[in-house]
Amino acid sequence: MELLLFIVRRFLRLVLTILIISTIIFFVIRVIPGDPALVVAGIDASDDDIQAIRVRLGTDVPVGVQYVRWLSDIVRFDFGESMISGASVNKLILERFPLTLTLAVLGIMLGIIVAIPLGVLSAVHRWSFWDYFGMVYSQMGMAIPSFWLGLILLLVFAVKIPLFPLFGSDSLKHLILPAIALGFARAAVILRLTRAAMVEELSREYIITARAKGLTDRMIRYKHALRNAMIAVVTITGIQFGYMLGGAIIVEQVFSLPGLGRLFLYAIYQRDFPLIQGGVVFIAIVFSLVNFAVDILYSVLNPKIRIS
Amino acid sequence: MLEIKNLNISFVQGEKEANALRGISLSLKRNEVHSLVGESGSGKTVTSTCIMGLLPTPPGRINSGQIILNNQDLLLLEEKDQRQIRGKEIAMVFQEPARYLNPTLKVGDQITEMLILHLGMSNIEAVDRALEILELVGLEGGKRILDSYPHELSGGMKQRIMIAIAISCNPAFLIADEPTTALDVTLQLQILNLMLSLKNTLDMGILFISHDLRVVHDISDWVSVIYAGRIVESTSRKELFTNPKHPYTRLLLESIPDADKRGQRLQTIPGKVPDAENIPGGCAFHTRCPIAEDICKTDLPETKEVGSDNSGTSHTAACHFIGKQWKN
Amino acid sequence: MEKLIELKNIIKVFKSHKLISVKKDNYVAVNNVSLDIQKNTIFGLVGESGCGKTTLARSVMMLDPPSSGEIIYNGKNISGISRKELHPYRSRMQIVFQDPNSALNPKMSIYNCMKEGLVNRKFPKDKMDSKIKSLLDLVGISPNHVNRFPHEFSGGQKQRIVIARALSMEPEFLVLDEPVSNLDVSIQAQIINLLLDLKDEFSLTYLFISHDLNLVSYLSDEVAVMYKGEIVETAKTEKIMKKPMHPYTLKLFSSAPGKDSNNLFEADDSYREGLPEKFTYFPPNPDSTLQLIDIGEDHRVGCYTLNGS
Repeated sequence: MELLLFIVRRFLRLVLTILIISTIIFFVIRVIPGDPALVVAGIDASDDDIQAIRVRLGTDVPVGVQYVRWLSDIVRFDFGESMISGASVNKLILERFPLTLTLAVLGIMLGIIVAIPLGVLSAVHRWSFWDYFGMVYSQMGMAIPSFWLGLILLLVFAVKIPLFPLFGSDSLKHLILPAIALGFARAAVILRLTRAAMVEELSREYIITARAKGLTDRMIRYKHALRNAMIAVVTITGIQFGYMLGGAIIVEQVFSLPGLGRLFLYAIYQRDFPLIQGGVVFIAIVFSLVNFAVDILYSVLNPKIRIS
Repeated sequence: MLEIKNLNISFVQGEKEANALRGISLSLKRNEVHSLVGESGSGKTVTSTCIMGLLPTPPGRINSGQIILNNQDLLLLEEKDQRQIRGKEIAMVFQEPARYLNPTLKVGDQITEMLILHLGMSNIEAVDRALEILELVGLEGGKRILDSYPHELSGGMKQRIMIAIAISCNPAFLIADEPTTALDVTLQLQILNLMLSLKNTLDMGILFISHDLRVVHDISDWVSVIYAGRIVESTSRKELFTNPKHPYTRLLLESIPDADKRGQRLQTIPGKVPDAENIPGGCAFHTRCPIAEDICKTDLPETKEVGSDNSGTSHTAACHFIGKQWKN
Repeated sequence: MEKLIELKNIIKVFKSHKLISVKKDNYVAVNNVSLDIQKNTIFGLVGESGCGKTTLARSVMMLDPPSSGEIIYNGKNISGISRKELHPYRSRMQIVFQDPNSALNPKMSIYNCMKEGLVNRKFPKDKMDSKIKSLLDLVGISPNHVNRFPHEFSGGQKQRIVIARALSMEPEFLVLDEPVSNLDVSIQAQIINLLLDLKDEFSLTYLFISHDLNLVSYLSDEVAVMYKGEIVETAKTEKIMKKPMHPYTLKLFSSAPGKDSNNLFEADDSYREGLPEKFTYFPPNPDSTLQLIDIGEDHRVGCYTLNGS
């Protein structure tokens, strides 16, 4: 009951966030100088043509009416049609989304598999080989830009040692190198936080109690400390996952992957306003959903949060 | 019997050495409360962590001493064997239950994990035993309590849970480090009474560590007063409170405010407790002592029998001038 | 005797600020408290943690103004006045907390800690040095140590510095919120003696908040016992020590450590010792309101009127 109430509360907050974000997007786009109808119509268009395009785009009515329409469209998840291709924005996004999502999931899995164990190991055996290794890794991870790492990975593992394909997106194999490029820096952040959280938990008083009970080191570390450290780790991992969806734009460009990132990049080049609007709202919704999921997971892990 | 013999412990950090315990001897009998009273920094907590085998070395260093339980010296045991003692033979209760309980683990798990580990019980057996223990520590609500998280319980209940954890394996000895300091007076009395009744039913020896002489008065059979890493006086409760010998004990007792002293100035002890890095030579108390003479600055007073009554109760103190009076 | 502070029906409610919640639970921290504090006396306020004693003190000082009720300071109602009008009262009322560590900025030297308040009340610059030094001297801190930082002092010394800083505002009224609870036994007596000396020297009035009954009974002229936001008993210290009336007071007194017998006093619902016929200690129905009745010589006990009378 407590948990349910908490979830409902968080869900309402999620809806509110999306509402605010879409309102901001709506007005930001209106503030950008220039009439999109002029862009679409081109220089030679007649006034009638332009007016027709305005009607098609829905920019012929007052801003207030446009805003209400915009909100009702969002509620129905209808972002209109691309001004360039004429295809529905929904269809374009949903076509591309699975690839980006797969990439981000692979990236975050890589982060979790590498970063969390290494972070725990670094914290448990401080100033050991693993700790130094982790430190060097996290420094590098934060310093190396993902596009450069992507290029180097391609050069080494696709060109010099052809373990992975250079182009394409047909199989999981095609996504391994992009996922590494995407996850490398995120993993560094997760690693550092895991280490810090674990070190902090190991210095808490309840650890002394656990030791006084005669528990083994293994139980103390993994049953008692890790459980508490995970609260912080889950939060940061969720946020990193959100970043990855945005960060995919660059990596998709490097590996020529037809994902969401590339879609939006071209939409921006071509001033495809409906697609840009739809894309930003879509990303915002996904980001909010990830945060929502993190909140729920957080409250499951941390019994205290449900009450306060 | 649990005997601590001449324990000497330092903390070493680089060039600095802090002599935290300078030859502590204590003996704990079953079914008896032995209180260790002292101010902060006097070495109370170092003593308890050392008995539990939880002293981090380094920075801690055991210079000499023995802790003897069942004819074996705990200090010589390997970590693996020490773990068999911890929680099972000697258990511990801490000051702030809110911080010493794992916030994300159900209370039940925190009790049963010891039963499973030390007594080899199955999960179901352990839960049954945990329910019995809850009753023993005066917590009603059985399964509901086992299923709750620490933050869902009140301060007094949390301390009862701490005690439940400690007594779960029927330990011979319990070390209680300021177990009621964080509690309100009404709860404090309840917890003290609970500890006394558990002592009797489980035939358990308690080392009660406290700074509060009034609480010590209420709970102890035997009292040892610790100052700057040495026991300065040790005797039965009755002797200590009616016939204190060491000037430190006498001053401490006189400095406690109560209604009878209304209108008078309180007795004070000038200065402060020395820190372990700079313990004065000779008798460590000489810098604050009203009856100190030159010899106190140079010679460490021996611990000797000072009892005056004929009942045979031992009363030891470490002072060159036992019985000497002073003017305020 | 002259009243310095009169509290009339102080109520402090904390409202819950949740966007969506099942029930709007407002928490009544202080409920209908009326007290008088006489000039140049020590008023002891005892109660267990969470009973509202600190909230009450903060309300009295207008740090957390009460939700309703009047605070009369020296004959003037200060509960409804503007910030600007309140300003002069701020320095007349000072507070000393339990933990001197959180009261002193660790990055500021003692000199700067002390200077802040003095600058605030426009103390002449040329006399600053000698003022700070004399204040520190007064509380037993060597004036040579003015440039040291808080961590270089022991707990007792830090508490002395906090007291010196409070005194620098030249207050008439000091709230002492568990000022010695964090200190070692041998240091507590030093601070208590210091507080008593200062009270005489500067004709101060103290509101002394503590859970330590022995200490309060040693120190204060009058005592009020607080329970769940309400005052359940108040009297001259000798009176209440000799003859505590309210069952909660009895429970509190019987659980104080250091006596020969210690049996926790627990009253049952029929307990009504010392009350006139038509009163009871326990609310006869949920809407009953507690009232303080005088049972003689300003010894006031909280009770309820029995139904039907």
